[in-house]
Amino acid sequence: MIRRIPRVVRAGLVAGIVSVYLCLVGIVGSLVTDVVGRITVGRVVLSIPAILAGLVVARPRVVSGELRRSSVWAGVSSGAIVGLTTGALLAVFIGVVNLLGIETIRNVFIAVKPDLMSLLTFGHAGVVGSVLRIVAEVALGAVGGAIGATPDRIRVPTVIAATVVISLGLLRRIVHPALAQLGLRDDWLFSVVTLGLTWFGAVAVFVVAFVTTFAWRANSAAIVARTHRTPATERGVRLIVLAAIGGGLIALPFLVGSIFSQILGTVGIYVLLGLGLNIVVGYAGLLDLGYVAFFAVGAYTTAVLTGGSRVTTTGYAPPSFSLHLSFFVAIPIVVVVAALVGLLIGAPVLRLRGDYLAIVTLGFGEIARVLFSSDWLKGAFGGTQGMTAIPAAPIGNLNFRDTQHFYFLVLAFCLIALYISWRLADSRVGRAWNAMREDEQVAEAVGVSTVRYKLLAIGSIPGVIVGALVLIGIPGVFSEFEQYRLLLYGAVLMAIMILRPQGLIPNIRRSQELEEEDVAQDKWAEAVTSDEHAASAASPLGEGAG
Amino acid sequence: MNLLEVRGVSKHFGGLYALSGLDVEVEEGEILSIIGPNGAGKSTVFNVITGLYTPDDGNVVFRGESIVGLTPNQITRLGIARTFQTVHLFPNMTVLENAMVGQHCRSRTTIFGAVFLTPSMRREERSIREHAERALGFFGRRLAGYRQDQPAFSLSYANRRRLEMARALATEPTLLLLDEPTAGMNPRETLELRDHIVRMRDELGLTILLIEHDMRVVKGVSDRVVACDYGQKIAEGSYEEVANDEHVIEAYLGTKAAG
Amino acid sequence: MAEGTDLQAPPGPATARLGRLQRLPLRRLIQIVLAILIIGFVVLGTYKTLKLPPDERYDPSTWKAFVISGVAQGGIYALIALGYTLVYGVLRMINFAHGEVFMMGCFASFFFADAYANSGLLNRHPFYALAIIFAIAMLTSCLIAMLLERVAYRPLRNSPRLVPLITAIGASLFLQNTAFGFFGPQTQAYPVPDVLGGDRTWTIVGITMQRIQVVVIVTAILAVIGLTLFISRTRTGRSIRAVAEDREIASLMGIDVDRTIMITFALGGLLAGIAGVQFGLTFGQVSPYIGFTPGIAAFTASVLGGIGSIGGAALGGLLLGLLQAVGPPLLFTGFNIPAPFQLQDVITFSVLVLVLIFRPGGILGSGEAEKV
Repeated sequence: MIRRIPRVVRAGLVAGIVSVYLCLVGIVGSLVTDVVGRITVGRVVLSIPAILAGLVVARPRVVSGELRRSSVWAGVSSGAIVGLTTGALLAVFIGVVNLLGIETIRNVFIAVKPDLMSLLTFGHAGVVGSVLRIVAEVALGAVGGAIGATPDRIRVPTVIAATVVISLGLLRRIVHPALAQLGLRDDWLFSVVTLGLTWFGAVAVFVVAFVTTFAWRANSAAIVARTHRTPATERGVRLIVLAAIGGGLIALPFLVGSIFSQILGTVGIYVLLGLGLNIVVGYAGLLDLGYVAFFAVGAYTTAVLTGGSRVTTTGYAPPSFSLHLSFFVAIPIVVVVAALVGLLIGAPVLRLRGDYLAIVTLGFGEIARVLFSSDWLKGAFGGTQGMTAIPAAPIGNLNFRDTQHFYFLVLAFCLIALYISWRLADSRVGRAWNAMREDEQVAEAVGVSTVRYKLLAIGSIPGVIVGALVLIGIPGVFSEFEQYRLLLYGAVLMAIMILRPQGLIPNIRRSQELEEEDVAQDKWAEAVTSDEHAASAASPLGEGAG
Repeated sequence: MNLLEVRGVSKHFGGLYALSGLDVEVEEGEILSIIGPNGAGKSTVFNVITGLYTPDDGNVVFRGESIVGLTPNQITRLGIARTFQTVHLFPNMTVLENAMVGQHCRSRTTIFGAVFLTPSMRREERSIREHAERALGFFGRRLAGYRQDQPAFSLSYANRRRLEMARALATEPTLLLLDEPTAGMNPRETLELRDHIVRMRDELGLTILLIEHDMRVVKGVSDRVVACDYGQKIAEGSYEEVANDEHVIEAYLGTKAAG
Repeated sequence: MAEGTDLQAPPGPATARLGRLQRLPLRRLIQIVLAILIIGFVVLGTYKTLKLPPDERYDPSTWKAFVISGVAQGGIYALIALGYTLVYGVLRMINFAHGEVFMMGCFASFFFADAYANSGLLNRHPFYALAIIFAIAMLTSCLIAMLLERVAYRPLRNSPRLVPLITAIGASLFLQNTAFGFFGPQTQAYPVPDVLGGDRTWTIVGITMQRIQVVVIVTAILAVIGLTLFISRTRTGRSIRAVAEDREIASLMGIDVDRTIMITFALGGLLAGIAGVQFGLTFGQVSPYIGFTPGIAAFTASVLGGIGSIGGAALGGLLLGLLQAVGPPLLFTGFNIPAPFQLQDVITFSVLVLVLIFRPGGILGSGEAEKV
C-alpha cells in the first residue's frame, strides 16, 4: 500500500487540476441541461476526473513483467485516496475563491459565478461546503476504484451502461421525437419537467444496457466457439450488419424530424470532408491545411456561375460578373476551375517537406479567406457579407433545400467517397501514396513520380463537390464564412480518427520484435540453409519461383 | 557498347568537393565494383546517377542518352534501380507491398481504373503481384511464405537488405546499383549474398554497379574494379591490378590489409 | 502517357524511352512564370503608387511613419520568431502553438496592467509597473511553453514529423479556446501608461518616434542581444547548441537532453512573453484570438531569415514588419485597391510561399533544401 501512495496521490492531483480547469473554463457551470433528475451536464463532467483517476489507479497493471490485480477493497481504498487528493485541491480552489470573493476572481476568470460555487459546495457556504465537496470526491474516486478493480466481465458492461445512460440523457432532443414518430410513450423515461432522464428511466436503461452487454459478451465467445467460421457465414454476418447499418441510415431522417435531418446532413458533410482529407493526409501523408481553400473556391465559383447575389448594406446586388447557368452545367466548370487552382498553387510547392507543406497550404487557405472577404473583391464576392440567394437545384422531385432530401444526397456522396477511398487503399495508386508517406525520397527512387501523386492527392475534387453541396443545401451560408475554419478543424480531427494508427504512430515494440525476429530467423535459416541453395538455384527469377 | 558512362562529373557541397571530374564506364553485362576509402564520393556517384543530385559539371549517359536533369522516378523507369547504404524500406507496408511498389513504374492503372475495377486493372494488379512475388522469390525462402504479409519493419537486418534488393529487382532494371549490400551482414549471409549478386548477372542478365567495402566480396564477384579517392578515379582494372596499385595502397594506407 | 513497357514482356525496359516533353522541367517553368508575374506586379504597383497625382499621394512623413511602425512591428515579430527558431533548431519541429504562448503572456499581463491602471500605480510609477507587467508576461508564457513541451511534445519526440505538428495545431486550438473560456471572447483594452500613451514622441538621432515604438524597439534589441550572449557564452547555451547539432551525441557527452529541450522552450516562452506586452502596449488591445496572425507572421519571419538561426529570426522579423507596414500602401494603392491593409496577410503568406519555393534555407540559411 505504502509504495502505491505516491502514484495514487499523483493521479488525484492530476484529476484535481483537471477539475479546477473544467470549472475555470466554464464547462462545469455553463452546461445546465439536466441529464438525469437534477444532475446537469456540468455535474457529470465534473465527476468524471475523479472517477477516471480512481479507475486508472485501481486497474490491473504490469509491474516488472507481472500482472498485478487489486482486490475490490484495495481498489476502493486507493480510489478513495485519489478522491481525497482531488477533493483537497478543489477545496483549496473553493477556499481561494471565498477568500478573494467571487467578484474579484470574476474580473479575470469569467466562468467563476455564484452558480458554479453553489454547484461545487452543494449550496453550503464556508467550511461545510468544502467538506461536502471532499466527501463527494472521495465517493467518486472510490466508485472509480471499485469499477477499476472489478474483473473485465463486470467492468466493461458497467462502463458501457453508464455511457449509454449519459448519452441518452443528452440526446433527448433527438430520441424524444423519434419515439413520438414511432408512437411510443416516453414519459417514464424522460422527465417532462427537467427534460432529462427520470431516475426510474435511468436505472431501467442502465439495467437493460448492463444485462444486454453482459450477456452479449458472455455468449459471443461461446457462439464463436460453436459456429464454424466459414468464409460464407462470415460474409453472411457482414452482409446482415451492413444491411442493418444501411437500413438505420435510411430510416434515420424519418425518425428524427426535419431539424435533425439538417444536422445529420451537416454531419454528413463533415464526414465527407473528413474522407477527402483522409485521402490527402492519411494515404498520401500530405498535411494539407489549405484544404478548405478548395472548398471556398468551389462554393464561390458555383455562386457566381449560377447567379447568386452579393449581400450589401442596402440589400442584394448582383456580383460584377455573373452567369445564370443551371447548377448541373456549372458543376463541371467549377471542378475545372478548382483543379486549375490546385495545379497552380500545388505545382511549385509540392517539392517541400511535410511540415513546410502544411504551413504553406495553411497560408494558401488564409490567402483565399482574406481575398474572398476583402473590400477589394467585394464587387465580385460580397466581402465579409458574402453571397446569398443561390438558386436551388432540384432533380425531379428531389429538392435539396428540403433537409431530408439533402440528407440523402449527402449520404449518397458519403457512400461514394467511402467506396472510392476503400478502392484506392488497395490499388497501385494507394500503394504509391503509401510509399510516399513512408519515405518520399525512396518512393521517388523506386519509380514513383512523387510530384504527380501529390498533385493527384491534393487536386481535391471531392472538396469542391462538397463546397457546392453546402451551397445548395444551406442557403446564405457565406455570411458566416468565418465558421469554415472550425469546419476545417473538425475535418482534421476526423481524418486523424480515420487514419490507420500504425501509419502515424510508430510501433514502440518494434525494436523489441526485431531482436526476437533476428534470433528466430537465424535458427530458421540454419535449418533450411542446406536445401535453400539448391532450391533457389533451381528457380531463377524469370520462371516464377516462390 | 557502354551501358552507362559517367563523364567528368563534379559535385560539391559548399567548399567540399565530393566528386571532381570522375569518369566511370560500365559495360553491358558486367559487374563493376567501386572501392575507395570513406568519403571518397562513392555514394555521391550513385546519387548523381539516380538523379537525387544534379551534377555541377559533367554528364551521365545511359544507353547513349544523357540522363542529367531527369527526376529519379524517370531514371528508374529507364531501367536503373538502386539500393541504399542505409536500408530504406517502407517500414509499415508489408514485404509484398514493398516489392509491389517496385512495379509501380511498369504499370499504369489510374484512379479511374482503381475505383471502377476495370478488367485491365484487375489483370494488371495480378501481374504486379506476380512480378513482385518473383522478385522476392529470387532470394529463395528468405522472403517467402508468411513473411510476405508481415510489415517490413518486422524483418531482420539481413532480410531488410534482401527486400530492398528485391524491390529494386521488381522495377525490372537493366542496371542495378548496390550500395554496400553486405554491410552489417554476418559472414554466412555475406557469402550467400555474393552468390546472389553473381546470379543476378548470370541469370537475370543484369549489369551491376557495386559499392563494397568487403574485399572478399569485391574479389569474388567483380569483372572490373574502379578505385576512387577524393572524388577521382585513381585506378581501374581487374581486382588484382587495382589491389596492387600503389595509389590505391597509399589511399587505403594500412587498411587494405584488413580486406 | 507512355508509362512502362508491355507487362508480358521479359524483364528489362528495353523499349522505355522518355518523350521530349517529359524532359521539360515543368516545375521550374511555373516558378519562373510566377517570379515574373510577381516582380511585374510589384514594380507596376510601386510605379503607379509613386506616380499618383499629388493630392492622392502619401507625403514623405507618412512614409516615414510607415517605416517606423514597420520596424516596431518587426521587433515584436523578431521576438516571437526567435521562439520558433530555437525550438526548430533543437527539435526540427514547428511549434505551431507558439502564437498562443505569446497570447497567454499578453493576457496574463493585461490583468495586472488593468489592476495597476485602476489603482493609479501605472501612471505614478510607470517604470516599476511595466517591469512587473513584463515579468508576469514572461513568467506565464515561459510556464505555458514548458508545460506544452512536457505534456504535448515530449511523448512524441521520436514520432514522424507530422505527428508533433498535428499535435501542435491541436495544442494551439486548445490554448486559444482555453483563453476563450477563462477570460471571455471579448476584446479588452490594454492600458498604456500616460508617459508612453497617445502621440507623445521622443526624437532620437533626428528621427521622431512614438514613445511606445521606442520602447518596443529597444526591448527587442536588448532581448536579441541577451539571447545571443546566452546561447554563445553560457554552459546551458552550449548544451542547447550541442543538442541542436546531434541529440544522441549530446546525450552521450553527458548533456541532459530533456532538460535542455525544456530550457529551449522556456527561453522561447520568455521572449514570447516580452512580445506579448509589446503587442498589448502597441495595439492597446487583447483577445483570445491575437495569437494566430502574429504567430504565423513570426513563423514566416523565421523562415525568411533562415529557420534555426538567431540572427536570421531577428532579420526576418524586421524585414517582415517593414514589408507588412510599407507593402500594402506601396503595392496596392496604385491599383486603386480599397483598404490595402486588409491584404497585409496576403503579403505575409506570399512571402512565406516565395521564400520556401525559391530559397528554402532563408536569407541567412544555406539556400539548399534539406535532403536525406
